[in-house]
Amino acid sequence: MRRSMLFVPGNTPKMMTSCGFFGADAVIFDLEDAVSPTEKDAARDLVRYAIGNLHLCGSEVIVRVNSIETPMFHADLSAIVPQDPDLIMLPKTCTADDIQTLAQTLDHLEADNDLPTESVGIIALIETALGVENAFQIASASPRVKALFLGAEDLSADLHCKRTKDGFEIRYARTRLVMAARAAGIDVYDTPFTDVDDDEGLCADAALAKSLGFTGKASISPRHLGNINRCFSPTQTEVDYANEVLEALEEGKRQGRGAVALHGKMIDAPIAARAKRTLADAEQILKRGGTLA
Amino acid sequence: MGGLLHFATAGTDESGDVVVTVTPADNTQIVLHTALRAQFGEAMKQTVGEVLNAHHLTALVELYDRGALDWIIRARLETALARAQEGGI
Repeated sequence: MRRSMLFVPGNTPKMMTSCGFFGADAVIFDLEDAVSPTEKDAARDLVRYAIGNLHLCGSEVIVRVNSIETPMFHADLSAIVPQDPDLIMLPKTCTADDIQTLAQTLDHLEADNDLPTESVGIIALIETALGVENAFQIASASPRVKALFLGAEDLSADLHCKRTKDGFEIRYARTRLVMAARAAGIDVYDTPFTDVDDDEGLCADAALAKSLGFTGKASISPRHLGNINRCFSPTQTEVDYANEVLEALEEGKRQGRGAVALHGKMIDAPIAARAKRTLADAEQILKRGGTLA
Repeated sequence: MGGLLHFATAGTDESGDVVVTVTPADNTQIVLHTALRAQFGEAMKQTVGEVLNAHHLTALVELYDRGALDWIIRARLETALARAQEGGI
């Protein structure tokens, strides 16, 4: 479970050396938009060394490579995959074919570098209208695809509309991506909130994303991580209730009752499933040294 | 051991980084510009020597250090060497 993912520009040694200490569940070393065209080679070398040398305090390693149509795509993968990152983020994923192309390249690189098959996962960054329309096909294109991730800045440009704080223009894309990812049985991550100093706006944006079904949210600033982690963590009350639900179900089973009620409310299959998910999330967060909301 | 084709540079003068310049030379020479020479000068030279040996190259290498860690020096030097073997900068 990743509640938060922190973007770290791939050519900034100072930010890279500190990025493991802010509590992000994953860090995304960015070789794409955050790196100028003349420094792509330098960022690639730096990220390659960073993966093997940085202490990231349990954060997962994701690398956003350059998109398939660029000449940097294969060079990025050839340099990064041998370091065994957790996930590759593919920008501008538009079709299932894009995923197949990446998956085949990963197949070859894993074999060439004696890595276990499918050890490197994929996060599909959906940031075009075509990508949104193909979201389910993308999500189910390969078992490597672990999550969809909405990129709202590029998407709003592709939609010929203005990006706003309330996000009305991306409401359809958000719900469409959640639906597609959940139908495929994978996670889904919300776009970063780009006003670094607006904590209230961030919390409202993250709460909206959570209410729609997102697993977590990306961030471009370490300042946002605490609020994002809190928003996407279960509360102690939710954990207590989940325990009560499972205990009531166990008790009902012992007594041979078909239907079980808790606090006067029937416990049905969705409630039981949600309780199990809450406890599993809480366990992962606590195991990682995090705290509940 | 081979020589470089061009002069090249990599890195920035921001804190935590290092600017590496490499110049074609028949014998390796390493010049350090760092406030940490007493503490880390020898380690920096050893790092540069290891990277050059791994690439079978000789060069005049200058480091303008702003507190870079070992792996950052290695990465910046590798970028500079690759640039020197392409068009140089």
